[in-house]
Amino acid sequence: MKYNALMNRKPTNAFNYLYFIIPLFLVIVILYVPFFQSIYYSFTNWNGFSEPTFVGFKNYIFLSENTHFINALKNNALISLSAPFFIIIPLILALLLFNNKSPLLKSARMMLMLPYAISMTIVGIIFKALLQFDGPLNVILEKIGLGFLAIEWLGRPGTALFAIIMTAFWKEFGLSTIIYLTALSNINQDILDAGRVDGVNRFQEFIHIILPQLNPILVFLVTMTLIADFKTMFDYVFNMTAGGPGFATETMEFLLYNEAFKYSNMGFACTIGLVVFAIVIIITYFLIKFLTRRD
Amino acid sequence: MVRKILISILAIFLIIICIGPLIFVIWNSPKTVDEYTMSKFSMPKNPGHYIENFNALIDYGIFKYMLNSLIVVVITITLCAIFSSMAGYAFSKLEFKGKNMIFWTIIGTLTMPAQVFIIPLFVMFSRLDLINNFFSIAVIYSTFSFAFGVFFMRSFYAGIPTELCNAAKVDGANSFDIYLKIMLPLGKPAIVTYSVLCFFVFWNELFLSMIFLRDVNVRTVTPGMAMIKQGVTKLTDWPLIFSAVIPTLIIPIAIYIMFQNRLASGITIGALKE
Repeated sequence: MKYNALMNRKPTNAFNYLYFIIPLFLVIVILYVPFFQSIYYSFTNWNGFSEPTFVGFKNYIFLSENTHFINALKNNALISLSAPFFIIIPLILALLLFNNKSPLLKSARMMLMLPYAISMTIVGIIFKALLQFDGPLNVILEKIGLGFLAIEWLGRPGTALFAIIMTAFWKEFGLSTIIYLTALSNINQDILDAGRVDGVNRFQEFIHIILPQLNPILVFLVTMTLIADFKTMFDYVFNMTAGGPGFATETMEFLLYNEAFKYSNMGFACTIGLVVFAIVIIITYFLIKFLTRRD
Repeated sequence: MVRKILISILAIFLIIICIGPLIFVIWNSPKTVDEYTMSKFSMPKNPGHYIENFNALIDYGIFKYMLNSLIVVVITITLCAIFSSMAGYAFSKLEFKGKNMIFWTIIGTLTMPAQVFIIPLFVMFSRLDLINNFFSIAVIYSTFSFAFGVFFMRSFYAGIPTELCNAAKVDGANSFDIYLKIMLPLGKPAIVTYSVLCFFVFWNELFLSMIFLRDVNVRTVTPGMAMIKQGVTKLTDWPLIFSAVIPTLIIPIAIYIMFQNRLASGITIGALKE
């Protein structure tokens, strides 16, 4: 083999670059170059075909006054406010299910992660069917005497966003529970035993022994949930409500998609994308700082 | 004892929550529209109606979409596996100038959501006439996942003792021999886990696929389902949509059952390796 002979003669460092030259090239051309172009285009008026015209901060000013954008921002904020439930409920479930060896639990574990395998689009479609006014959820509610709760879940501005969040919760909570269970099983049993000998109760054990060891997992899940809130709600919104009723479930990435690919406002869409990115980075930065602080 | 019973009830409740919606879909797929409107929970009167729904789906192109998805995902996983494992090896075991900077250039893209580069990228690709092309979307997908893949493979290779490489070097092996004959075989489990994770991400991907595969002939299964749903719900034929959902779930659920033990640990490797 040619390169073998070459290597044996002259084992230089230059050869080492070949191992990652292609990924590095692709990352630069496909991610970094468009990212910097995006920053430039966000200061222009551009439809994607003609030459962009430089307009300064006009897009950013327009964005801050745009009621659509403020509404989408508010919806994204509401979705983010639900993040604690996505993090705490799986933790409670994991603590309850941990150390339980019944065969029932084994099948529960397997089922819990099943929604992970299903695409958000399909989950969205299934839940759209379940949440119809004459859908099975309302039928069940009526059967168990809660008929007053049977409403048009996705057709009301007040409940549509809530319904989407619940759908996302169905898809996410099992995976998070399993991640917690994996982390719990990695906790050193000796430390727990030592604590028991010293007579700590279950609550103290949780606060002082278990929680600190779960910290990396918490940081991971918080980051993932928040990034997912901004990035992936698109699939649910697109398939369940298309932003409606009215603009009640319009989120920022849905706004971006419409501005770019429906109305060809490419410059303005770039502005939205960058503002979303900035918000995600800032929130994530402060949260990680808060969660990894040294007491 | 009471605690045990309560936990069992909780476990049963969770199982019902998780598979209830899927059973509902399967249960109702052989119904006619009228039957479904009348009752959501009754026995399907004529299970053979599923065949009729199934035939209608062939016209909607769901199987073509599945084939397209399979092609895209296979190309993507191949690219991801080859390049990430090679780069992961280089970053964990080899020395060269600028190693840290190059590593962080690749890893830094983990934080980038598609929204910040999608528009210039789309314009660039349409000018180069690379839209509606399986290979170009596979390249975008794999580039998108290099950050995770390189990190993942580097963490794995870092756990393999360097003495192994040194011993081979003494025997006269060059760095590529070491990769091909030692690291690649040892890295197999990590590569499989990474490939499975990639499968789920990109089989289920909607946003990029919708933008870069615009033609109906190259459409993948996720946007395909979204379009079928948009076309059909105007007629409110939910059983027909349920019939479409079932075949699209077969491949992901089969892969899930085969590899479920690897998934949770694979997803959290970044957090646990701190």
